[in-house]
Order: sequence, then C-alpha cells, then structure tokens
Amino acid sequence: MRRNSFFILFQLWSISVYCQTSFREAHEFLLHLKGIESYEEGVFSASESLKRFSSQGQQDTLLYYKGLFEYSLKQPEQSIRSFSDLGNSNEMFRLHASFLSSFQSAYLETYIESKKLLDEIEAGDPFYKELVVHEQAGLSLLDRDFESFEKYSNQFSGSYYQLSSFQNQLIKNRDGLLKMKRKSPLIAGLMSGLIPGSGKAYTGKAGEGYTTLLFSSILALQAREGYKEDGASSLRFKIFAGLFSALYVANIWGSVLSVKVYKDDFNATFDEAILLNMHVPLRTIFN
Amino acid sequence: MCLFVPFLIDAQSETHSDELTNELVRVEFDIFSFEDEVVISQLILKKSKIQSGAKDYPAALKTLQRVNVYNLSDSLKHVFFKEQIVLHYLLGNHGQAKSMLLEAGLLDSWEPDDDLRLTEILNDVALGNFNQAKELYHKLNPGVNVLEVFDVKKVRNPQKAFNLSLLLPGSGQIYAGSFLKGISSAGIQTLLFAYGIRGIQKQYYFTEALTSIALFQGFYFGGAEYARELADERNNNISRELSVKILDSFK
Repeated sequence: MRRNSFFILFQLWSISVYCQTSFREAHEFLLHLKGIESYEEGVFSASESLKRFSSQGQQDTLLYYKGLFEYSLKQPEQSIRSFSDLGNSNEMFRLHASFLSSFQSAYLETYIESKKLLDEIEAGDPFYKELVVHEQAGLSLLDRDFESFEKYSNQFSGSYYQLSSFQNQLIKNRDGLLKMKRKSPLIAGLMSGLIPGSGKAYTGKAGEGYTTLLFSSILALQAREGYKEDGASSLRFKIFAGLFSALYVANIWGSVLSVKVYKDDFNATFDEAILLNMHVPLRTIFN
Repeated sequence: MCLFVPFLIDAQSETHSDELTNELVRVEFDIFSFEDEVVISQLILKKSKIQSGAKDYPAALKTLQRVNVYNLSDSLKHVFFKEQIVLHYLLGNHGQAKSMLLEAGLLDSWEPDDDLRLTEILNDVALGNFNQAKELYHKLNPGVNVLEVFDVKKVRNPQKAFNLSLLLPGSGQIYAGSFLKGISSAGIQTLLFAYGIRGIQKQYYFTEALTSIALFQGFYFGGAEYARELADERNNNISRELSVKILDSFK
C-alpha cells in the first residue's frame, strides 16, 4: 500500500515536472527528440506543448517541429496541415516549411497546390531563389509541362554546388521523357495477331514476346499434328486447337494492355527520379 | 492542469496508444533532463521495458542501443546485454543473439541468470544446435531426464532433400518425412515419362512426347524444390515443438 502510494506520488511529481517546463526546455526537448529520431514522440510532445504556449513565436516553432516530425514519419497530409498554420514570426522556419510542403504536395500529385506554395515563397537570398526555380523546374517535369521546364531550366546558374548536379539530372530526366517512344495499342494488337509475341516485343518486353512465340508455335504444331493424325473431329485436335486459339486471343489482348503498362512503368520510373532530384537538395540544404 | 492525464482523452480506440506515447515521452523527458550517465542508462532501460511491454521489440532494441554499454558498470552492462539478447531472440535475430551471448561470455564476472540460460537454450534450438541446447539444458535442469525432453523427430538437411529428389524423384519428399507426397510425386513423374515414351513410339511427337516432357520437367524440378521446402518446414516444426517442451518442463 505504502509502496503504491509512493509510486503514484512519484508519477505525479514526474508529470508535474514535465508540465512546468519552460518554452526553452520544451524547444530543446523537441530538438533532442529530433536528434534521437523519436518522431512519434516528437509529434505528441509538440501537440501537447502547443496547448501550453500561446505566443505567435512559440506556436510557430512548435508547429514547425510538429510538421517536421510528421514529414519524417511520412505523413504528408498531416505535415502540410501543420506547416500551413505556421505564421511569419520565423523566416527560416517559414521558408523550410514552404519548401517541404510544396515537395510533399508534389509527392501527393497535387501539382497546382505545390506550384502555388512555391510561387508564394519570397526568398531574398539568391541561393533560395535558385532553389525555388529548381523545385519549379522539377514540378514542371512532373506535370510534363516541357515549355515551363525550359523557362525554369534557362534560369539555372550552375553556380551552387548543392544544386548543380541535381539540375543536370533534371535536364537528363527531361531528355529521357522526350525520348519516350509513342506506342500504339492498335499496332501492338495487330503485330501480335500477325506473329504471336511480336506485340509484346514492340512494347519493350522482348523476353515475354519470345516466350509467347515459343508456346504459340508449340501449340500450333500440336494442333497440326492432331489434325494430320486424327482428323478435324478428333478430341486431340480440338483440345490443342482450343488451347492455341485461347493463347492467341489472350496474347493479342495482352499486347494491347502492355502498351498502357509500358507507359505507366515509364512514367513511374521518371516521376521517382524527378522527385528524388527535387528532394535530395532540400534535405541536404536544410539539414 | 496537467497535460498528460490519460483519462481526459475521450477517444477510446486511441487511449491506449496515446497513454503509451505519453508514458514514453515522460521517460524520454527525464532522460533529457538528467546528466548522470548511470541515471540516464537506467531510464533508457525503463523506456525499453515499456516498449517491450507493448510488444514493440524493434523500438525497445533501438532504445537500448543508444547506450554505449562499455562505458557502464559491470552490473549495468550485464543487464543491458541480457535485455538485448532477449530482444534479439524475440525478434528472430537468432544469429545476433548468439553472437551477443558469446560476447557477453567475455565480460568480467558475467554470470547469466536462469532466464538468460533458458533464452540461450531456446536460441540454440531455433538455430538447430540441438546438442549444444541439450548440454545447456542439462546444466540448468539436471533433475529432468534430458533425453525425454529432447526426444523429437530427427531434423533433415534441406539441401540433401533437394539433391535426393533430383537423383530419384520422390525420394527427397520421403526423406523429409512425407511418404505419401514422395510416392505421389514419383508416380506422376513415372506416368509422364511412360506417356512420353508412348508418344514417341506412336509418333505423336508434339501432342504426347513434347507435352509429357514439358510436364515432366516441371514436376521434376518443382518436386525437388518442394522436397527442400518440406525439410525446412519439418525442421521449423521440430524447433517449435522442442521449444514448447523445454518451456513446459520448467513450469
């Protein structure tokens, strides 16, 4: 009983000590949580501190860290929400939050929102101005707006080592996207109708194409053998001719679909690379 | 009024996780506030135990790894080693647990308690080191008949099962303890082989011979792979069964 009372008293003491922390301590504690990568605890702690400290500067600091922890926890929607409540009391926090919000919006494929956030950044420093241009160029590529990309990439100065290699990468991404061969589902289907598997090869899947051709040829030979040996009404012919027909039709349909798969794969690969080239400079600069 | 009073939170479904996070944040705040390394280590231990209690073993291990154990006193060092070994075992990092056990054996005045010895036995069982586990078990529980506890089926070498099936279809499955599956596999492959021969004799080269060759090779290699899986599964079942028997013998 006495032990339990002591334990409860200790818990209450510990709770009250935490509740009486000054803002400076609360801020340092958030930095400590960031340092040990305890992001979930960071969100919790920042949320609780937001209820206690009410001045604009304090609220902005806490919202900034909350958004940062949520960003680290890969919770983009929550992070954007926290950053959007941020005031203008700390220019650096505001700047970093705007870049991260814009990037996270791009990640969520809400490009208009992302562009709006970038346009709102009022960077006085030429370096941050170029960072805005870099992100805008990346965003244009994600939106496949090559005209805008030209406009932004022409502003790349190449004088900032933190950005120059990623700017070159973005230009390479643009070149890669422009090189994408236009594939027609109709041509793919017709090719597969003519020579089974050739439609798949046309969409860049040569291995699948050869396999399909091999299986179709074997089934065709089997059907021919059944017809030659046992006649058109034999079960042997019917089974193998049926299997060949099913594979033949399925292959034409598969080739038509593979054009869409090809486009999706191509776009996903480039989107990932573009996002990476937008993200890495932000992490390097603000960390 | 206080911020971290769990019963003030309405949402029942979130109460538990918020309560836990609240507790973890409080302990972390104490860690942040104190400067004494011993106190910090003890608080880190406390935090890790809270995480273990919530079955968040990866987080518990990560918390413990924040401390450089070699800066600690012997007694505290032993506690950290023990906790990490148990967590590695619970996380299925059996190799890591074993190497930490070996490392701990080199520490000054290292004397594992019964719980840790039991963990070591179970870890050896999981690694398939049954003889080592048997020796340790005998030391820990000399009053019990070791042979009776360790009286389980023999483990099988998965690679040997695979090779046997390549040599004689079905024999790998039989070696792995599945007689019926072995016989079925051998039967199917024999029939396919015979059907292929018949196809060649009757000059049905494509419809019979080629079909049976294709199916035969599928069953041949697939059967060998399956034999390997069966041996693996058998060994895992034996490890589980033996672990349960060992734990029961201590009740």
